[in-house]
Amino acid sequence: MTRDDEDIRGLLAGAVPPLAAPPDRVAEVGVRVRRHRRRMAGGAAAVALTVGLGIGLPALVAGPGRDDVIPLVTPGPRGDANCPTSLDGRPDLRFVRYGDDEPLVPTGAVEVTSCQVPVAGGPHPANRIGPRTLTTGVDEIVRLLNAQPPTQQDGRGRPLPDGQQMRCTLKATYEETVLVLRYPDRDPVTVWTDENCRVAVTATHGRGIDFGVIRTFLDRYRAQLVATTDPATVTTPACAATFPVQRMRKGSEDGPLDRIDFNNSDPYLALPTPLIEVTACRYEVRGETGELVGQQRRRAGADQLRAVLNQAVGRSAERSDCGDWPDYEEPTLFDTLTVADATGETAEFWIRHEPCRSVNFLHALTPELRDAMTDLLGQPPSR
Amino acid sequence: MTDRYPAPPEGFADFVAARSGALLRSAWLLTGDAGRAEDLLQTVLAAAWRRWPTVVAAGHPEAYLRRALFTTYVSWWRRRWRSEFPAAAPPDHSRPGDLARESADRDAVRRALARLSRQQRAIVVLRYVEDLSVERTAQVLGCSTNTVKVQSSRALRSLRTDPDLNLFTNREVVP
Repeated sequence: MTRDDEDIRGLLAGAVPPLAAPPDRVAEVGVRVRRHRRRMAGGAAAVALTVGLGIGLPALVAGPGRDDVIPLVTPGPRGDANCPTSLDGRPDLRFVRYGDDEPLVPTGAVEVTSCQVPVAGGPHPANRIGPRTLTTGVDEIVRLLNAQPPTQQDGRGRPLPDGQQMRCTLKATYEETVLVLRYPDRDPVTVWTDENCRVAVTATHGRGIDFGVIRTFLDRYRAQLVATTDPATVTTPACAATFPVQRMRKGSEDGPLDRIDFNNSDPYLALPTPLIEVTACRYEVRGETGELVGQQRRRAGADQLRAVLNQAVGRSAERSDCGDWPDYEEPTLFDTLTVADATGETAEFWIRHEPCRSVNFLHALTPELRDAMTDLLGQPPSR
Repeated sequence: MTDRYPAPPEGFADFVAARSGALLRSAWLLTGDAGRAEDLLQTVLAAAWRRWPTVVAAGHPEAYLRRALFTTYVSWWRRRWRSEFPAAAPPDHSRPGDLARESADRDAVRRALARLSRQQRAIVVLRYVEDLSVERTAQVLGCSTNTVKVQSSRALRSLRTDPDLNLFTNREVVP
């Protein structure tokens, strides 16, 4: 082993973070074994039934053996995954049981639905997200929920001192996340999270929460969408013939719609999933209206734009200031770029060319994005 | 039999208690994610549970489990996570000012490993964490010794020249 090899070995050995083990790993594995056996039994029953149907269907239909038919599959999830519409039904955060050894939720869930429950007036209608249901990787979400810290943590992830009352920040939130877990053999379990108090509670139990579980849910949900979405069905909307200029004003409530962001877990990466199609539209402003002067839809090579856009609106993107009331300058020439990714969702990027260059109000137009737009729509005419 | 799961075969629980920590660390190095590492480990343990008497009779349960961990990672991961696309530049999850250096250093290694192919990553972990010879590594992964040598060399070259790990190394030598 050379010195270099030793260095690599030391680097790798020191790289592994402390890894939380489930309270009873043998039990977790045992649950998987049981589920595997049930699946195998269900599969065997299905094979037996198929063979039986093939050989003796007439007798089966007409004869007395019909009552002996074995169920085809194990039962699906029990109960409804109804999302709460308000926090009224949430247990009092102070009075559930924190800090015990019991898991927050039972293992064996087969489906998790994430619900965004409005707080006060809720988010802007364009930003409201419907229930999202995850059916793959559910075990991992259950495990993460049960691995949450036993009690409320402070903002740096440290437990509060013993005897300390529950402490909550007062950040204005428009919605809270609620997870509804469904099981084949028991009623659904609802987990309510509270962003300000940083806790997750069920009807009886509570834990601190670091919200990494929500990020994991979103990662898995995106992967599920990609796996279940046929790329041939993914498309971007056509360019509108006109575009109201007032929408381009900073602070407009009707800004660029980003549905990809709804399922995004990384605030610094706008487009985490490969792009399938992009549509670019160019508008020249006449009066209060932008009029369509050029358009281009592209599928081949669409994903090449992803890195360019991620850089243009990413964490290290340069800021742009195109002014605000009363110093706002109306745009005279701008493009919209709508991208659709492999999850089937779309996101808009608004690119001002004149009289001030910017992307989505806040960011400077990068040379790479300008080149990309020129490639799509031609050189913007200079004025 | 318990209420929720069948009784484990004899010796299985002791094995899990003694060796699952080491296997979990290897799983993390392969997957770069604590949740997936636990998922990978439990998948392999569940498979071993079902044929535990055979595993024990073969004489080297840990070697069996280790081999299963790596082969499952290389094959099952391809099937299960095929929807995820390796990026040329993996996203930087660290946030300015809110992570300790230790955590940032770990993240640098995680990102550097993410830039390797699955096979290269498995080879690096087997060779430099599990201390297996070239021949044993080839046996575990079901490839030739030449493949192990070539991919190992490429992986090490990639790690040595990785921009994040260079930063890591530089910071280490600054007093």
